[in-house]
Amino acid sequence: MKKISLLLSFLLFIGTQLVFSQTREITGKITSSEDNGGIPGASVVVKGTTLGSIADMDGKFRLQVPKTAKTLIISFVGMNTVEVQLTNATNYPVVLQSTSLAVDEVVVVGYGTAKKVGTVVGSVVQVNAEKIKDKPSANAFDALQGKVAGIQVYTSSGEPSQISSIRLNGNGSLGAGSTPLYVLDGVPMNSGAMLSLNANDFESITVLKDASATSIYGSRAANGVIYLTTKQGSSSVSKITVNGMYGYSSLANTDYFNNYMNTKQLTDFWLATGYRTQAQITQTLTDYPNDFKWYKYYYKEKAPVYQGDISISGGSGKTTYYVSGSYFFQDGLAVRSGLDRYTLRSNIASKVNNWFSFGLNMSAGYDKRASNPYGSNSLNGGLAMLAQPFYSPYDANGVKYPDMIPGLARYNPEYLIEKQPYDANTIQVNGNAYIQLNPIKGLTIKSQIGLDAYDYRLGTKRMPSYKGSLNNGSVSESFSRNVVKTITNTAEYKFNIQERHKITVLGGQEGITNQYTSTYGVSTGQTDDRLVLLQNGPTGKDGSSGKSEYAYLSYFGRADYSLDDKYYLDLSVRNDASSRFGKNNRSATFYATGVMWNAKKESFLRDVNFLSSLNLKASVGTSGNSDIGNYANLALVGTNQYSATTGWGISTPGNPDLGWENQKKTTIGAKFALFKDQFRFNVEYYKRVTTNMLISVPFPYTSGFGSVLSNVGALQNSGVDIAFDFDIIKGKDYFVTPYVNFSYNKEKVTELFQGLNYWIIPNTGVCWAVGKPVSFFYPYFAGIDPADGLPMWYKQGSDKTVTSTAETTKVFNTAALEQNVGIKRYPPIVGGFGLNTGWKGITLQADFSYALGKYLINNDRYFTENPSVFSGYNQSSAVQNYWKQAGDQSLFPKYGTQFTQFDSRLIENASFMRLKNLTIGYRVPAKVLAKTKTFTNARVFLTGRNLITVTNYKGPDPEVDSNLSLGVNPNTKQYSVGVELTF
Amino acid sequence: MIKATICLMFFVLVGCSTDMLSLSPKTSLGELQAFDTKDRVIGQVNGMYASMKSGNYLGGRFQVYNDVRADNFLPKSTNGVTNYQTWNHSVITSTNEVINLWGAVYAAVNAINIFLEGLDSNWKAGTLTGKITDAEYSQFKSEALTLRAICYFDLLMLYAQPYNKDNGASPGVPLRLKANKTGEENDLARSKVSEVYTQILADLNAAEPLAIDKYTTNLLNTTRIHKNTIIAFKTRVYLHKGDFTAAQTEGAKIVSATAPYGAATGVPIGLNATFAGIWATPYTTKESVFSMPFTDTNLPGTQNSLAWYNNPSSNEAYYLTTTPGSTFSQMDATDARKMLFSTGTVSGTTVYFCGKYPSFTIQSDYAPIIRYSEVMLNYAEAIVRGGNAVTQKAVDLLNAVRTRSFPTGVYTLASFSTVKAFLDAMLLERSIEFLGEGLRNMDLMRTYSTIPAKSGTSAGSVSAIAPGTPTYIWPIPSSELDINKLMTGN
Repeated sequence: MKKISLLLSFLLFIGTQLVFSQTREITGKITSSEDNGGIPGASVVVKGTTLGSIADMDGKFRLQVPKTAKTLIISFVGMNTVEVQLTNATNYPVVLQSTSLAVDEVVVVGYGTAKKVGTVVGSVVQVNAEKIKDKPSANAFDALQGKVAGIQVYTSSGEPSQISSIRLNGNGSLGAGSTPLYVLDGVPMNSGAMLSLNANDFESITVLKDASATSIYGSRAANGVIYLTTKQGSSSVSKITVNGMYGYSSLANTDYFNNYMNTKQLTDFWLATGYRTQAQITQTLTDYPNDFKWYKYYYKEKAPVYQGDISISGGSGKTTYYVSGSYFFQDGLAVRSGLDRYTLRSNIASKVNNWFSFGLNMSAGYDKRASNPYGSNSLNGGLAMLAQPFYSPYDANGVKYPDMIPGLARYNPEYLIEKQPYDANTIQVNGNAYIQLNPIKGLTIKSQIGLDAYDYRLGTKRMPSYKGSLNNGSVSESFSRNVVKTITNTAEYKFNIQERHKITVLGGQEGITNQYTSTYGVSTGQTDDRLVLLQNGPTGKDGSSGKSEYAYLSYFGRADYSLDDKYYLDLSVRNDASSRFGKNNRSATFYATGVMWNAKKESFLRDVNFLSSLNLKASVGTSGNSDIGNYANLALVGTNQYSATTGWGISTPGNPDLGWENQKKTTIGAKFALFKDQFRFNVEYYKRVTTNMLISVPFPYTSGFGSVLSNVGALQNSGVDIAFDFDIIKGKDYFVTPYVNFSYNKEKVTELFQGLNYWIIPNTGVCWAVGKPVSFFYPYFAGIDPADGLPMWYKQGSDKTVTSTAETTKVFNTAALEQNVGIKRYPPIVGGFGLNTGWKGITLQADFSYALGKYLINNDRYFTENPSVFSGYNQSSAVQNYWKQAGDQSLFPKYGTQFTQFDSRLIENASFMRLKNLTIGYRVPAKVLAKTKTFTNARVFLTGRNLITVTNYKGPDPEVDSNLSLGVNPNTKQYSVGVELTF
Repeated sequence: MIKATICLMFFVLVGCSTDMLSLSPKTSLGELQAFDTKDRVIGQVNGMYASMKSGNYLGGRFQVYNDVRADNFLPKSTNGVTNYQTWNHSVITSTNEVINLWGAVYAAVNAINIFLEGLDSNWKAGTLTGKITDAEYSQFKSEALTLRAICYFDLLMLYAQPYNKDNGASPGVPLRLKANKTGEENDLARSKVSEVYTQILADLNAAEPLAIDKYTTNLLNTTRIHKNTIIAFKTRVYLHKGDFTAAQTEGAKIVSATAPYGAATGVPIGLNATFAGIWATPYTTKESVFSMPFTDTNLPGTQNSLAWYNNPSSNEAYYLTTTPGSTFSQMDATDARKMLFSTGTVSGTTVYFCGKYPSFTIQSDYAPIIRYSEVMLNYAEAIVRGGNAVTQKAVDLLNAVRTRSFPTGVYTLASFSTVKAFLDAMLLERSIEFLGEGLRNMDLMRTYSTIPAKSGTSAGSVSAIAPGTPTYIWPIPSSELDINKLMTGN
């Protein structure tokens, strides 16, 4: 409220300045092209000044203008902006068009100037601000889940500082990374920076999918490109937008937690199995007469999340600006888990004269981030739920025990946090500055420098008063800094020949350097809580520092050609050199070519009425992947210590031939709409072939090395992406528009290394086998023998890569039993569907996302369904179903035999569907707003995230993006309410 | 024209940076010009020791494997990371300890081979002339050869059948004697146990005459190889090989004819006056012939250190078997070695822990490899086994070790009616004396004895493992079998 009154007084202040002479009065009416109704609240401004007015309830305006005024700028949210030249007339009728009808969306792809979406040959999908803003999540990528056919977005935990993992069209590499290249306003960005950016600052997120769109990014573009565009001001509309959102989080799905046994079930189980006698149990229950659900203790039930931000955008004359500030806070459900973030952004662009313009886009973020420190394998973390239900963290009066919980003999987690404080904070700066020259018509020369930098500080302490290590404190301080500098120079020339031939050529050069440095200090043995600095620890003093660098140098060019806006062709080529590769193979050249045919423009289709538009596309091209360590090509000599003297030894073997991983992608697609644009389809088929993969090829240890990074093997992904949306009904002030995204990917390893036809990655349960998708290889469980209650597994066949169920054994031995269990590691089907609907000012947006055929090794069950291995701990209620007598058909073997082994039983179907977003909004009618003479837009909304989860997965969270899940801090759901006001 | 100039300037600004692509790391050395200076040569000598000192090998785990495989220890935890599978004989080809030890030892072997090759080629080429002396060349070479011998001997202890089984006819381990800097030449077959012994002894015998007599500090005498270290280690190797004559010859070189026993030449290794004194800082008594050094800031790593496995405060420690017939039960209450034990509680019962590594909060205790008391007992056993008769000399040597800690436990010739009685007493004495130092499993293997059953813990029980059972020795790691096409399993 304070903020709003502040803004109001600011506006009033401006109002008092409107004193001038030499004026005349003009009037007019602003109407909508759709219904010819007046537009109340529309803004009227004299161009180049701050003079203006707001249309009244009927859309009429009255304004005193200086006699020198030449142009009026008329604007309104959701409508295109119109400039009206003033004449001697005094009355000016103005018609505004809705923006969705008026403009073709533009995209910036591949270094050049903006292009209309419909003229881009490459496959690009744009997600606009409306879909990204005002979500109760710090990370804007979360909102992409299910929105774009072909990309898979997972948020692997409920930590507020979790960053989503993204894959495009399957998993593109076996050994190197498979994350896309992120580009923020033309500058490559580390995905971690996402956490320091305010989602409400984004104008759009564009996904570049095919080779035609990505090849110009050559290096690192093999996994697609995610292009982030932030908002810019407009010289015609000045506005102040204030957003506030408040909500809370709770567990998205509690099935896992409710599946543990209660006190009665557990003690009955102990009695039945003879683990405890009745007398012992009676005694336990006398001492600890509780039945407690421990998840309610380890996870908060309602943790707050809120965001407040303000943005001011506008411009005058040749200069535009967009500045914003935001605060975001999210409390995690587990102890010491949360994100507390401030962001600032300033985007300024100006045309100095008719051939020189410049711009500066800067953002800075400061945050304190914490994620639950107790690991997946900790009884205070991932395994906390093994706590016996008869213990309770509350005493008889309902008061929390301050430190040790009786019986459980575990510390209260809040006590642990208090005694082991932790402070992690980050300052992130992303910015770019450019100058742009237009020496002759059509020629644009641009030089840009970009910065992606962060400082991260982490301080941890163990207080000397901590009872677990009394009078032995510990302090550590670490600091790291990462700076990526990008310098890009481009020259683009656009020209037409006889109006029919439109040609654009672009050439450029880009240099990127990265430097990472770190320092670390530690000491132990502090004895007083008041003296806990590094210098106070007499023992264990140690310090270290690190430094790591990489660099890229690239040259690129592109040419676009279109004929009659009907036939399109583009060609691009890029040469990249990277410090990460060996001298012999440092640089590589990538190319792409694409064609598009706007078939609807052909005379033979012009009269085909049901077909509103039809574009056919095809592209083929290559791109690279260099997502590996910085010095993998060098033979490194490491230093170590022996008897307080320095030792040397070769630590990694070199590979001077190490070069780029290469990918060739072929895409063909059709984009078409039917029945007056009512049904809209986009269908694409792609094939990605990855060769020269960067894989840590295993070596026999007798060679002295475990593995050597080499270019080997080949992988193939192919599939289809389908996006479809249509208007069930659409009228003047109502619409119902559902959409569906679907993608199917088929993966096949086509070549490995050292002549092997399969390679089981040690300790992962995952295997690469030639001719097959990446698959789970595990001992294949064959059930419990009803005769003797012993577990059985299928024996390996002669070929481990082929599932064999011919023979069984009762002897468990991973090496002897592991075989292809016929389950794919990566889900073949991902997508989303949803609905956008509105009636007058009310809108409802529902977005579901899904993954089908997704599997996970549920490692939690090894702990929760293994009563003899983890005897005494609470277990899943499933363990009650064990073999008791001959003939029993049971889930588990007889008691005394290990219930659960690492075998195929743990590989669970983790397919899921989530209601990722449900937003109900109400926009106050313009007529009402007009009365306030202040607001041009007011909107209230309710947003829910992850409200519904549908899955058969039995672990805490199916969304984990890994081969194996253990003790994750699961995803959360949020309910929030928000307000958006524009002045 | 001005416009064009400005445009060009910007291109020039960035176009100059092709050199920026040749980057090398600052945390390690990019190019190996390792024999340029004396400091670099010494750096590599230290580097060989440092790779032996890995927590996965002599920094702690190798000793722990050899302790917990045998019969003296019971685990507090069933955590596989802390060698539970080694304890209950369920390690398989892909178990971490099987893979990690193999990797750590062969990494050390390669570091040694790289050094040996570089040292010799540079020495022959004359590029080291004036940088190191003849004596230093010899000394460094002897250190490298000895360390390689230790590596191969230790590999045999877990991955191969004892020599005693069939005079070394069983498969041993691949003998890597050439340096490898690029990760090539992957395939190498196993040599026979006897061939590996031949190599070990060839290295040790070549090293002995080259070795330095002694260093200037106790620290170096305990942590670097000198002539007496080599001889001490040879007593162990010959005893394992069953060459008792040679074992006696080596023993006589460094064990004086009469008490107080000690080495007459070189480093004056001998028994420390008290048993407890060996296990306190600075860990460099004359008894510690060879140990791996640690400091507060250079540690073996959590879950690797001997302190982690032998301390009541550790949740993953191993405590002592106290059942009748156990080593513990046969120790006298006044035995200084028993008095060193610390106590703790497991499931409400008081249990005992080996007290040799008390530095639990920091875990900087030195890790012992060979002590003088072992040399004496090796010598005594070689005399009895070699002559197939109990002699006064053997009894005296045994008594010297025993009565230091247990003064009233004096043996006489009459205490042993048979050779077997002496050997049984010897094995027990070694079990007591070297508890927690990783010799117990080696002794069981060497004598081709059954590994006794273990029980009495919530961690389950383990049956006895007789010689000839597949689990009597460790399997060859899957990481080797999968890639090395000439490799064969156990």
